[in-house]
Amino acid sequence: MKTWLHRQTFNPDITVAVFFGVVAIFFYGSILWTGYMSLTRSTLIPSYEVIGFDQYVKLFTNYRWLVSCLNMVIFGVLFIVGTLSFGTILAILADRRIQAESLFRTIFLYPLAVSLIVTGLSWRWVLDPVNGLQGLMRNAGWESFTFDWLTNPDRAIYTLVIASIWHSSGLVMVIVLAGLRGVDNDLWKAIRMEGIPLWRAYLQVIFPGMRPVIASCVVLLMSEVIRGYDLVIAMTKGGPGIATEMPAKFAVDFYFARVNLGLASAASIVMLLLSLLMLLPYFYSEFRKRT
Amino acid sequence: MNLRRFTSTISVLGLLAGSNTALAQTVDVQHYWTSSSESKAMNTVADAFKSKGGKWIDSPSADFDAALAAVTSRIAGGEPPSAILMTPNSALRELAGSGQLRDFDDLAAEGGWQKVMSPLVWSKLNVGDHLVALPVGIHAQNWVWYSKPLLEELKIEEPKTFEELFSAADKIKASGRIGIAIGGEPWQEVGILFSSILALGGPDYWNELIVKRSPQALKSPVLPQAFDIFRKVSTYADPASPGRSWNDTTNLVVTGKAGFQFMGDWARGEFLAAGKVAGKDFGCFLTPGEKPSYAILIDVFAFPVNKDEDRIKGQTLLAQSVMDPAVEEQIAEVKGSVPSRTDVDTSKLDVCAQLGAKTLATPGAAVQAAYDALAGDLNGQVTDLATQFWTDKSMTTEAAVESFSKILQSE
Repeated sequence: MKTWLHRQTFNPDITVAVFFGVVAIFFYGSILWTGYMSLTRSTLIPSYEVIGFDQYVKLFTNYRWLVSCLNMVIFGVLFIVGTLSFGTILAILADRRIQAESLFRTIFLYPLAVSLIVTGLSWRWVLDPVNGLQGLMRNAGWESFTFDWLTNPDRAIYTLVIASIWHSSGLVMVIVLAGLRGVDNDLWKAIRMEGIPLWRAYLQVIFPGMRPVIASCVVLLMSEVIRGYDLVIAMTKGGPGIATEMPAKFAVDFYFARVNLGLASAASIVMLLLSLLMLLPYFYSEFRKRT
Repeated sequence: MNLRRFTSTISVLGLLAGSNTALAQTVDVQHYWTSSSESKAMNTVADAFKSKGGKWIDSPSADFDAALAAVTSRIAGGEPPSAILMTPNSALRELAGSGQLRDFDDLAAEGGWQKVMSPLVWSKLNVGDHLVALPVGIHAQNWVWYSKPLLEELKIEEPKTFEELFSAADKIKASGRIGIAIGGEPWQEVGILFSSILALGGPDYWNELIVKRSPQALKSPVLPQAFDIFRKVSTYADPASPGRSWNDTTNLVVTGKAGFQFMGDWARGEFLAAGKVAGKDFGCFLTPGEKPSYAILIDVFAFPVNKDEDRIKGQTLLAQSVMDPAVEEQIAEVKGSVPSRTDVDTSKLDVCAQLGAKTLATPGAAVQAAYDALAGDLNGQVTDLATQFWTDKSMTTEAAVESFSKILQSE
């Protein structure tokens, strides 16, 4: 048995070809099909008659879609900046050789193990104006305490940011911490000898050297932003009104509840283009480095 | 040797099990009836079906949209459910139009079903002259429910106009309770808008506006008035309203924490499930207007084309169970609907169901609810507009009416 297995030499090209075949069919094939569908008037059942770019025109005159895109930008910027800063601060604190470091590390990483649906539901209960934090404070005697962001159309989007920062900071912390642990001890010795203040040492010496680490964090977080669906569903269902609608939710709603395959496909294609656009700076810096 | 005997036993057992399922008449039912009254109604159908010897596979989804999503992907994936709970909307017309649904013309002719249904209902069940959906019960959207003990405590009469309704709600609010209970989900909000339009305009105007989408109807003063009433209702929303489900909202009225609720008569099922009696513990009226009107929503079963012999037999058996007058009556009793067969004895139903049955039988009162009447995703677009107007207090009535007109004229 063993000798037979040993005699087999697998050609890596075949393995890779199979893998690429699978990717080509299920990934690029789906993208192509979605692109095709976005040029048709398909509703519930696919229709294969091309009508041009009407669905895209419809999409960009749809108020809900525009609100969704704006929400994604607001949410994305605040979430990425917030998570990066919070996670980095945690990593720096953990790197200062504090007591019980592994305990804290586990505590902060724990939210990541909780699914976004559970995260959203728990935060929804915490932020619920009647039964959550506000109600608790008011029952405790602080009658004027108001924290109704979840049900306030102008503020609800920020509750999503809070919940997702809570969810993802631990991940950034662990990645950045790993990066910090990789910093050469000699560098630290040099910093100490030069007498550079700690904040400058981090901002000007340590982090610039950790560009790839930060870049991977940003890419990871960006994919969360574009996929942003489960958290919205669990926390606000896009409401109040359409205040927290997101493009992914728009696409899913129009695929299924609104049975509008054409418009939903157009939305998906625009989302794909948006995500490529967001990754452009990353590709650009990578490309520049190589050449 | 032992091993071989073991495997052969297993395969014999497997064969037996296989042949067993082949004998049963199986239905795989994709539905979304998950609240307490709804699941009771679904169990009524299931029990009737099982007592006739069928095998019931329950495939529930959390809500209507999720059920439709599951159905679409199951049909596309070649594993269609054998029955779907839905309403006769554009999705049904499209499924039927592309030949995905089994028709029941033969059974209908045999059972004389057309004679026992109102023409409006019958026309909704047929696509291209084929009967593709079987009615489970008839609901109406434009109901208002109230807590009778609460109104008696505050000495409020049942409101006959919107003004009386609002002044009653103010009184309830002043007593520290919720005047009008509202679940802040888009579909619940748009229901209030449609009820207001129907109440102010009456059935004829409704048909011009929603069914024919005539440009003249869009210019009528009824529209801005309806949006104003819709806005006024929104001011009664309590802080916990956003995102609250309809049955949790009904429960506020059931427990006397709130006075009124605008909701279709599926709400009656929740009152009944809580052991409340119509006319004693809770009251009901149709949104007040000059002419009686009844915006009907029909719950139907549709039957995707299946190839398996036992699943086809299962469909036939389920169709017969659903159309059984006794089953229709039982469903109406627990679910809050009105039986879709006109030959069902309604004398045992409560006062609210009788008011519904009476209005339904009034000539010209019944109209299609917007959910079924509006083509494509027009209903969805109006829903988006309604929830936007509801939450954005800075949006003017004129702007809302203009967007509304644009949506209705876009297709």
